Amino acid sequence: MNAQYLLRTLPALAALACGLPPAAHALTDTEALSMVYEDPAPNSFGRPTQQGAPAPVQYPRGCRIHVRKVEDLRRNTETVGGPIFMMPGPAGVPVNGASLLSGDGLKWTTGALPSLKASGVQTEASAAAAGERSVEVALRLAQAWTSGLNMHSYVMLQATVPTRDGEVTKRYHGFGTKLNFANGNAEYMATLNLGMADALKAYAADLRSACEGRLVAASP
Amino acid sequence: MHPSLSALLRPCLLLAFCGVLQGCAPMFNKALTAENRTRVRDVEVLVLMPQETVIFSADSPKVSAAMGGGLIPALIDASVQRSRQEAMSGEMATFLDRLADIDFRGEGKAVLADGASSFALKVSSAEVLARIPTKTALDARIAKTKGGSAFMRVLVYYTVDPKSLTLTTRSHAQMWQDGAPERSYAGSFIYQEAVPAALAGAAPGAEAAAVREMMRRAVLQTLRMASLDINQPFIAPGAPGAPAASGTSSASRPSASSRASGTTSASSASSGSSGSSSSGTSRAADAKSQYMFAMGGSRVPLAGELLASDGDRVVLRDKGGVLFSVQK
Repeated sequence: MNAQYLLRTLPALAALACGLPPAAHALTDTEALSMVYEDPAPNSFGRPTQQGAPAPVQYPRGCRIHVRKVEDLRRNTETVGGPIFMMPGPAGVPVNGASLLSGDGLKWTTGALPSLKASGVQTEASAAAAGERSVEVALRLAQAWTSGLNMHSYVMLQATVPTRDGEVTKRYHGFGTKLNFANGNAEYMATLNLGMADALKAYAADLRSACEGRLVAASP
Repeated sequence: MHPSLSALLRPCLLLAFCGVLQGCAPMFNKALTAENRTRVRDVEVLVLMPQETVIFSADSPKVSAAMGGGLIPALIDASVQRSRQEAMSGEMATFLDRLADIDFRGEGKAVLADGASSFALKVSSAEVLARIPTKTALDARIAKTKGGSAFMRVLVYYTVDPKSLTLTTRSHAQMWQDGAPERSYAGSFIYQEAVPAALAGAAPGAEAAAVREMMRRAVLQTLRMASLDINQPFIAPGAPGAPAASGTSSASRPSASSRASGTTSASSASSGSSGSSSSGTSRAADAKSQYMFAMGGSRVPLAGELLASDGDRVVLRDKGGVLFSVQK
């Protein structure tokens, strides 16, 4: 590599570098997110916040849960947050932003529930027979945002837990963080899935406790 | 699958681009000229509140800034920020559960009509939406201002500090008129208020009610600040019409209205925390900056000109033209 070669390639590199920031804004604010739940694969670039190393799955005897109702109870079903561009510092204000359009939140929540199986809770989308446990699950909130080079998400589920003393309703809060590679819709969806997985992890712990006859902790 | 180098580079370059913009805060604000103001018959106000609830983001260590940029420092920043974010998630779950039933956007909607009725310009319609219009939709909306109502877009971002229950709203307003693609006005407003200590940690209902009330006041005060900013246009230091530099801090600069009236501002001894002045009066703030702004667990002094003092609040304008409404 000589100096002449460098001189020839520098303009091309400079043009590429200048063109990259606009290209990084790959978010499509006219296209809704797929709202397809996929189990996040823990890796070094993103993982459910409260999810540690996967433990060996042990199914409590008879812990079969019937899901009698799934709802989307979000106040706003049109959007799920989005990046907001703001100056740093005390005088920073949001100079611009974009919205992430939400797809079908009901489909997303319903599709996520089978993942409870990995935590030892089998769910069935059917009515419960007498003496069988059943639950209701609702999506209360979902939003994603960016901070520096990371994407974050927050998902709130509201769900019932069948305990010995009757059914209790609790809220489960899940968080996800992921490195922002290209600011694309699929990445936001993956970040939301991290939040959903995190919320379900806490829900699965309560369901297992209920199945084993242990106390279920109150809401955080 | 490993990310390609260009994919890693893109967010870094975007971050660097944002870093360059840090020094450009004044360019985001634009005073409404007297000529443009006379041409505004009425204005349609769109308040955008894209958040579903409080957003929380841990600080990054700013290794990249300290080292003058670069891919590796940027990745270190991202990694540390992610770890910090994960560490604070447990605490945030408890906090967000306390706020779960608060409809921040709904609180804004509830007081919008009140705020619009006393706005500096005649408001023909006002609404609060979650979705930020796409560029195409915004361009179309701006085009409609030709021969019609002006259009003002107010983007609102809010945070609540989990420890002190301090609500901070940050808003940026932009107005277009006469079909021109350039903004005729732009202003930046920051409102801050803390839940009274007696209510923090009290019964969840009382605490949530206090936060709701704060959000309503935040939206009202934001519109009030916009009115002040329109009525008393900001003149950037060094711009034509700006007062000559006196060598003192910006806190002792004469206010816009006193400039307009040809009077000199009140001395710093008479300004500030007496709480007896009426809304809308404009005086110089105390050069010692007795007004504080809470940020990141610490409190920083605010310097700027005092635009209004009303009850327990003051409105200050900093040297970049950003208006702050803070408690005395």
